[in-house]
Amino acid sequence: MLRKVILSVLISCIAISLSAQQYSFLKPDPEYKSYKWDDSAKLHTLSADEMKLNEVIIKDKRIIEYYFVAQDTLAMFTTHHFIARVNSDKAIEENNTVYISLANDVKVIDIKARAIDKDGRVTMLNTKNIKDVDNYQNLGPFRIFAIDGVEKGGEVEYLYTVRHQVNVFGTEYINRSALHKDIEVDLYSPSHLVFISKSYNGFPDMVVDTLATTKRHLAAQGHNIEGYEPNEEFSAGDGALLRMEYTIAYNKASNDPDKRLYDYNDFCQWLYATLDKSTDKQDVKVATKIIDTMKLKNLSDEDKIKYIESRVKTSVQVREDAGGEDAMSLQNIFKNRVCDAIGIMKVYKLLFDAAGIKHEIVMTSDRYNKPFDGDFDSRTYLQNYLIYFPTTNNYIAPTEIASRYGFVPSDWICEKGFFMHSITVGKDVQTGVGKVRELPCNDYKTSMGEIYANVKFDFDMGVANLHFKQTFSGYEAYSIQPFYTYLSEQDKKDYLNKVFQSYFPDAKPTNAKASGYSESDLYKNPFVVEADISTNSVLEKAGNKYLFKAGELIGPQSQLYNDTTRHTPIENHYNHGYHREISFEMPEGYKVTNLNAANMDVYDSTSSAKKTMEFHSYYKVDGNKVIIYCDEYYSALRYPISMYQQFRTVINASADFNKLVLFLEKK
Amino acid sequence: MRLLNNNTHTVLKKILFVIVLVHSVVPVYAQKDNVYSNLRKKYADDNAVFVSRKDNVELKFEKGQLMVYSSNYEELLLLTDKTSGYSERNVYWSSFSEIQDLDARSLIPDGNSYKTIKVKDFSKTNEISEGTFYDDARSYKFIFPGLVNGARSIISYTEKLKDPHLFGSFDFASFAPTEDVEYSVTFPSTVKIHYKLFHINDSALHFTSKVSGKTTTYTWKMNRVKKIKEEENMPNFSYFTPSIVVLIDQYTEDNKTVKVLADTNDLYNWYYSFVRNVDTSVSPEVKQVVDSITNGITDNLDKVRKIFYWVQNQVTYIAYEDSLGGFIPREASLVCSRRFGDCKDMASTLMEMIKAAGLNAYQTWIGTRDIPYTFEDVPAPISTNHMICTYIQNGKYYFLDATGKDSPFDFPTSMIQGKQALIGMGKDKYQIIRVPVMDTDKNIYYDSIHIQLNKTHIQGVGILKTRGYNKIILEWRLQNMDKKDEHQYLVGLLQKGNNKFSLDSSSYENLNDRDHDLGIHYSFGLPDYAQQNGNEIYVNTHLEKIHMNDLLDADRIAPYNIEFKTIDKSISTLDIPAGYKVSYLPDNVNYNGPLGGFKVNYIVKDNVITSSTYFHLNTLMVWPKDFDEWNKMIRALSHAYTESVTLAKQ
Repeated sequence: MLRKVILSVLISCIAISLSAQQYSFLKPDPEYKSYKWDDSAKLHTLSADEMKLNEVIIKDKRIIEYYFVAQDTLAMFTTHHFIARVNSDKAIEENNTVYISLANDVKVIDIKARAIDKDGRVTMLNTKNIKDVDNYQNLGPFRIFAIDGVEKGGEVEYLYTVRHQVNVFGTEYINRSALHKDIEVDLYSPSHLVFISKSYNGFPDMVVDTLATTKRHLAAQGHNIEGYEPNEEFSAGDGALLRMEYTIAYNKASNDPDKRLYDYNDFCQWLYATLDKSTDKQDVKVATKIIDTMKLKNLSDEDKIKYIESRVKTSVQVREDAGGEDAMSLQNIFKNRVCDAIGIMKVYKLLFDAAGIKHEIVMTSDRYNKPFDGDFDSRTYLQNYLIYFPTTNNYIAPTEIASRYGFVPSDWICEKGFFMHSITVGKDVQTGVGKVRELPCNDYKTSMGEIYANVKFDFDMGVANLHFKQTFSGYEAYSIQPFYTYLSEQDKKDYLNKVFQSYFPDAKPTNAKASGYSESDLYKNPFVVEADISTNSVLEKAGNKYLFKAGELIGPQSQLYNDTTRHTPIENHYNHGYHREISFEMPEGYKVTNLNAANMDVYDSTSSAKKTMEFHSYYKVDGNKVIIYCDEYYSALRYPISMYQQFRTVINASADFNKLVLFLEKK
Repeated sequence: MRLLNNNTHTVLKKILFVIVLVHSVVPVYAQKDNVYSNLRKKYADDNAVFVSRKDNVELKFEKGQLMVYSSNYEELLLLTDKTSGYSERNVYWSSFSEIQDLDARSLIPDGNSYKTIKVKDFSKTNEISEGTFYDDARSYKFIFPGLVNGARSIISYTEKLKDPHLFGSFDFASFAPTEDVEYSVTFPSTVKIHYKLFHINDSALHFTSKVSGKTTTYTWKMNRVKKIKEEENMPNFSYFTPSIVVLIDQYTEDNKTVKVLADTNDLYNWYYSFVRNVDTSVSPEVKQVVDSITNGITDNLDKVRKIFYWVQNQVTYIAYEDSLGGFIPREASLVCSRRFGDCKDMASTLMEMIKAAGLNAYQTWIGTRDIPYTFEDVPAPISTNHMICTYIQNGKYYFLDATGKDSPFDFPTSMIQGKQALIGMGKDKYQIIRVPVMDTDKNIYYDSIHIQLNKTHIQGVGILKTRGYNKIILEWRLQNMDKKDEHQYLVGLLQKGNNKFSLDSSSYENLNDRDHDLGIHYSFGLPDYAQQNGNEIYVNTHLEKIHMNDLLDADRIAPYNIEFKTIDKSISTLDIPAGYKVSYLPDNVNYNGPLGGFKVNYIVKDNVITSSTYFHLNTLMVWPKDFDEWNKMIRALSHAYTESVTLAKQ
C-alpha cells in the first residue's frame, strides 16, 4: 500500500528531474527495435540428461530499457524472449498460454510466438488466439494468448515487448524450478541516467558494459541455472529466490551529478515533508484533545503507548483505498474511522507528539519477500511502517490490526530497517534524518505453545479419557488470538473441533472452550483452548497389554528425517518454544515397564552455555500419577547450511518423541 | 516443532482473511430495532441473514421475440462485527444476457434510522476460472461501503436474457440464511411453461397462481431457508438444497407456435442447430493423420482405440468459452493443427477422425456429476456442461472423453459415471443412454509388503498395484512430475508405519501403458517401528491404515461425495524372527454394510504372519441418513487397526 503512494510521487516528478537541459535529443533507437529472433526456427540440441526433463528453459532473455521518446518523456520498455522445451502435458499447459499484465497503462508493442513440433514443423501464433481481458482474476487488464501446435518433445518460443510507465526501481526473478540453460538480462538507460544493481541468492551479477558509448548498459548472463527449490522447509520463502534488484542512482546531467537519488535519506525527507505539509493547527488541536481525554499522565511510557495504540486500532481501520487530501485531517480520520497508511502514520505521530513520547518511524521489508538490505538503497525495501520508541526500546506496527505493542509482524523484524526521526530546520519547518539499524529478534520465551494433558484410561472401553488444554502466547497466538472474537458461534465451534481433531482424529470434544481473546488479553495473556476428550487413537492393544501412545499427545511434529541436500539456509518466522505436561493415572494393578523411554535431551552444541535449540523430555512419578515433561525451544532465528545437520537432530527429536509408546502391563 | 495439519491450516487461513473491523467504539446498533434483535436471536450462529431475496421474472414479447426479464432484489442484514466477508459482491452476466438498472447501497444504522450510502464504483471483471484460458462470462464487482454490525446491504438489478432456452432456475438457499425468499414467473397466455421442484418439502413452500388480464403469475415463497455451508467432499449444492427449474414449453406469436424446451426432443433440436453447420466433411489433412495411425489395422474397434489415444495424446485441453463458441465445436482440421481444444473440440475431432476411418461416431452432450438432473426432469442446457463422442459397435456404447488424459479406451472419465448421455445421430435422431458406473473391482488399489524384523527395525519390499481411476490419477502425477520431485512424491505415496519411513528403491511396471495395471515395486526401511518390551516384541501389522478415522461429523449437512467406487487392499507378510514365536494374534474382523465393508484377517503359516485388510466402497454418495452407518463402519475398522501382534522369545 505504501508502494502505491511512493510510486505516484515518483512518477509525477520523474520527467522533470531526470531529463537534462543540455541532454542531446540525438540518440540511437531503443534496443527492442533491433532485437530479433532467429527466423529459421529449429529445435535446439539438448544433452541426453536434458532430454529426460519435463521442461527445459532454453532461453530466457529480458531487456529493460529507459528511453526518452520525446525531449521530456522518459519511457520504459521491457522485452521478453523465451524458449522452452516441453516434454510433459503439464509443461505444455504451463507454456502454451501467456499472460501479459496491462495494468498501469502498459502498452503492448509487439507479440510474436511459435511452436516447433518434434519433427521441426513450425506453427506461428494465430492472432485469433490473442484476447484482451478487462480484469483477469481481479489483477487488472491482461492480454493473453494461446500458442497453437505445441506438443511433447517440441518447443515453445515467444518474444514480446511492452511499454510501461516509468518505475525507477525494479526486480527480476528466476522463480521457475526448471533448468535454465541460458539466461540474459540487459538494462539500458540514457548515458546520463546511472542505474545500479545488486544480485542475490545466485542470480548472475549485472556487469557494466564498458564498450557501450551511446547508452549506459548493464548486463548479466547465466548458464545452467537450476531454479528455486520451492519445497524446502524452514527456508525464507520468496526471500530465498534468485533475484536481482536495480534502481536509479545518479543523474549525471543534473546540477548535482554526484547526488545519490532515491536513496533512503531522500525518502526520509520526503516522508517528513509530507507529514509536515499535511499537518495544520487544527490537527494538532484534535490530537491534544484526544490525548487529554485519555488521562495518561500517571502512566509509564509503555502503558501510554499501549493505551494509545489500542484506542487507535479499535477506532480506525487502515485501508489502501482510503487515501486522498480530504482523508488526511485527523478530524475526518476519527469521524470516518478509516484512513490509509500515511494517514495512520500522521495520526500516531501527532498523538505521540501530544503525549510527549519520543518516537521514530521505521521502514523495513517483509524478509519472506525480500530481506532488507542496508547497503543497497532501493525503494523496494521500504515496504512496511513501524514506530520505534527509544525510551522503552520497543515497537508498534501502525498498519497491522492483529499486531500490538511488542508484537509487530514477525517477518518484519530480525533484519535491518531504516530508522527516521524529525528535526526542525529553520522556522518551524520539519524534516527527517535517518539511519539503518538492526530490528532485533524476539525472545523465544515470549512466544510459547503449551500443552497440558491429563489422562485416565478406560481399558474396558479401550479408550483414553483426557482433559486437554493448549495455550498459545505471543507470536504462537498471532494468527488466532486477535481474530477469534470475530468468528461466528458456528465458526468458533468448527475451529475448536479442528484443533482437537488434529491431535485425536476420532475425538468428539465435550466442554470445549476458548479463553484469553479479549482486547486486553492480546499478547499479554495466552490464548487458551481446552476440552474433555475420549479417544481410541492413543491406546492400542497387544494381547493383555496396553500400548499408550503418549507421544501423540504433543500432536504431529515437523520432521526432517530424509537426509537430502540442503540448498538454502535455515530461517524461522520467529523464535519460539514449547512446554508440555502429559500426566496419567496408573490404572489399579498395572505398571509401566519403559518409562525411561521418555527421557530425551537433544541440543545443538556440546557446550550447554551455547545452546540455541533444544528438545528435552523427562518424567516424574508421584504416587500412582506419572507426569512427563517436554520442553523445546529455538532461540536463534537463522542457521547457515553448515548447521543443517544439528538443526535436523533437534527437529527430529520432537518427531521421535511423538512416537513414544509406553507399555502398560499387569503387575 | 509443532506441525499444523491441513485442516487446522484451512481454518486458520480462513480466519486470517477476516479483516477485523472496528468494534469497541461502534455502539451496538439500536437495541430498539425489533427486526434486528429478533433476527439476531433467531440466527445466533450466523454473521448475516437475508431479510429478503426475490427474483421476479417476466416473460414478454419484443418485436416477435420472447425476452426474459429477471428482476432481482436482495437485502442482507449484518448481525455481528464480522462484516468484511460480506462487503465484496458480484453481479454476473454473459454474452447471452445484459444487466439493467443495477443499484447497490448500504444502509448504515444512524440513531433510530439508517443513513444510505450508494455504491458508485462497479468494476467490470472477466470471470475466468482456474484451468480456463478464456471465458466471456463477466461480472460487475463492487464493494458495499461502511458495513457495520446492524447495517443492511441491498442489491437490485434486472437481467435481460436474450435466449429463452437459457431460462430458468432458482436456488432458494444462499450463502447466508434467508428469512423470506420469493421466486415468481409472469407469462402471457400464449406462453406455456412447466416447472419442477427439487429438495423441497411441500409444507415449506407457499405457491400461488394469479391471473391478471392476459398474463399469469406463479409465485413460490419460502421462509427461514438454511444457508449452504461449505463442507469437505460435498457434491455440488444442487444435490441437496431447495431449488426450482422453470422451463418454457412453447410460445405462440403472430400465429406461429415455437417450441422451446418442453421435452428432450426440443433440447436435442436446439443443440443440433449448433452442430448442424459444422463442416464435417473429412479434410485431406485429417484423412492423412487417420490413415497413418490406423495403417495396417483391420479391426474396427482397434482403429477407434488408436484414434482415441491419438487425440488424448496429441491435443491439449484448453477451455475456451466465447459466446456461441461455447456451444459450437471447432472443426477437426483446426483442432488437429493447433493441438489444443476444449471438450467439444475434442469430441468433434474424434467424431471426424472416426468418420475418416470409414466408421461412425456421434456428438454427445452430457452433464458431469456436478449436475444432479436427468434429461427427462430437466430437458435444458443447465443439464449439460460437457461434450464427448460416442462410438457404437455390436450394441455396445463406447463413451470417448479425450479430456481424461490417461483413461483407457472404454473407461469413461470418473466425472461422467452414471450420467445420462444425449447422443446426437443427425436431424431429429438421438438416444439417451446412461454411462455406466465403473464397478469396485475395476478400481483397485492394492499394496502388498513383505517385511522382516531386526529388533525394532523393519526392512521390507512392496508392490503397489493400481487399476482404473486409482491408476489414472497416479499415472498422470508420475508422468508430469519433475524428476527431482519424484522421490519425495513416492515417499508420500508409499509411506507407512510413521514418518521415519525411508524409501530405498523403486521401479515401475506398465507406466504409460493404458491397458494394464500400473505397478510400483519398492523397498523400504522403517526404524523403531516395532516395540520391544523385555522378551516381547509388539508389531502393529497394519502399517497402512486405510480410512483410519475417516469419520463424518454428526452435524454435517451435505452428502459426502466419493469420486469412484473402489477396492483398497493392503497385505503385509511378516517373517517371524528366529527364536521368536507368536504369543498373541488379534481376532479377525469382518464387516458388511450397505455402503461397503471390510475384512481384517490374520493367518500364521510357515513362520510367516499374513495380515490383510480388504476394504470396498459400494457407493458414490453417502447421504445424511447413512452417516451413522458410515461412522459405524469406520469406527469398527479404526478399532481393528489398534491391535498388535505379540512375538515372544522362545
